[in-house]
Amino acid sequence: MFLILDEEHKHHLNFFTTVEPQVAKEFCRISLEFLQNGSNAKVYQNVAQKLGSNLETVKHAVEGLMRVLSEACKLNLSEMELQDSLSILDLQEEIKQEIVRWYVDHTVELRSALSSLNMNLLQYSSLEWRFDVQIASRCLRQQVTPLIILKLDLCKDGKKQPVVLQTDPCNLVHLTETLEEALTEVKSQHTRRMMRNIK
Amino acid sequence: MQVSKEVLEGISLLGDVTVFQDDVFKQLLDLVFEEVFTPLACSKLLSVPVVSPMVLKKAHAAVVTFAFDAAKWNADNLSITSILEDCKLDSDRISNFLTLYDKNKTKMQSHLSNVGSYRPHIVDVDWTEHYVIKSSNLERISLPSYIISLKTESLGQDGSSNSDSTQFVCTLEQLQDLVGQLKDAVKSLERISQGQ
Repeated sequence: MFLILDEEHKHHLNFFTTVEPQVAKEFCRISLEFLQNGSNAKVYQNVAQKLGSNLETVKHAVEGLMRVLSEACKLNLSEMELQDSLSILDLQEEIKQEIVRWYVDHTVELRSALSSLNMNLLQYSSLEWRFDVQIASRCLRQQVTPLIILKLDLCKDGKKQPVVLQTDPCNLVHLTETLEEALTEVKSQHTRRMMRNIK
Repeated sequence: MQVSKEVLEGISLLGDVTVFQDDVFKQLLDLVFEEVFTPLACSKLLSVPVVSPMVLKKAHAAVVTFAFDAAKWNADNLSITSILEDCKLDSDRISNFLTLYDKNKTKMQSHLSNVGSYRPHIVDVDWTEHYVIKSSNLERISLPSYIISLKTESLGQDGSSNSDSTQFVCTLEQLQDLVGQLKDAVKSLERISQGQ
């Protein structure tokens, strides 16, 4: 698989044919920061000033590089595949290696970031539980009611949403057994066959 | 168990054979315990033949309060008998009350245990397993993913139960973590129930 770069994108990346490897490295760092924390206009300005080049050019270069990295992650390109994709650009060998190295070092991180964008559903994060015995209430004294309080931490768009639920021992056992079934299903012949055949 | 003056007065009315004859007493008592399970039984009160509606109302309210209070404190027959004796009920009427009370005690207590504020109670769970191949943001994912839906029930203001569900997705590792935690909970529950 290859990365297909359109003309405008190539034009933006051409900036890297004019710089030193050290500068390319710095741009890789900035691009990664961009992917993690969003863009920062101040950084562009500083870099543009230092290099004595146009603010637009710097911005396009960072965004172009960022796009290369994120698209490569999206396609899960191998090191070789990325190298081949980049060879269409007239880059210095050292700069090319630098970009590829950044990609290899941060693939896992970037892919997990991309997969979290995936669905708008709540994502499981952690579970805490507590075992209580209710011994009295306003309306009923002298009781022995076992209760299990479950605090589920669910994530949505990186924000944690705690959900507090309760259950009784019978339902807890039922819940555990049912979810265990789900877990063993992954080892079943059917699931394994699907995973083997659909790539 | 403490009984208020109003309740004692109301029950004393029931001890008065000139106000409540035996059959009227039984009819009222049956209605009181029927009420636990059918809220509309109250309307049948009007058909009880009695001298004055005011007296009937007072006696009825007193017996209901007394029966539920006894269930709330899980009162034994001895203490109930002594209170009823103080209100001048004869032994026939007391044993009548006790028979019905014993028969309905568990139901009344489960009724009472539902009054209060509780968190949504998990009653069931559904799951689906998916094999994620690719998404708009990511190609070549090829990982299993699960959607878990916890079915919960909670009691509304009016005592009716509402069903709801909490849905979330998790990866295989997250599901393993979840099941691991739940197994821990089950294990310690077993240890506690065996008194260890």
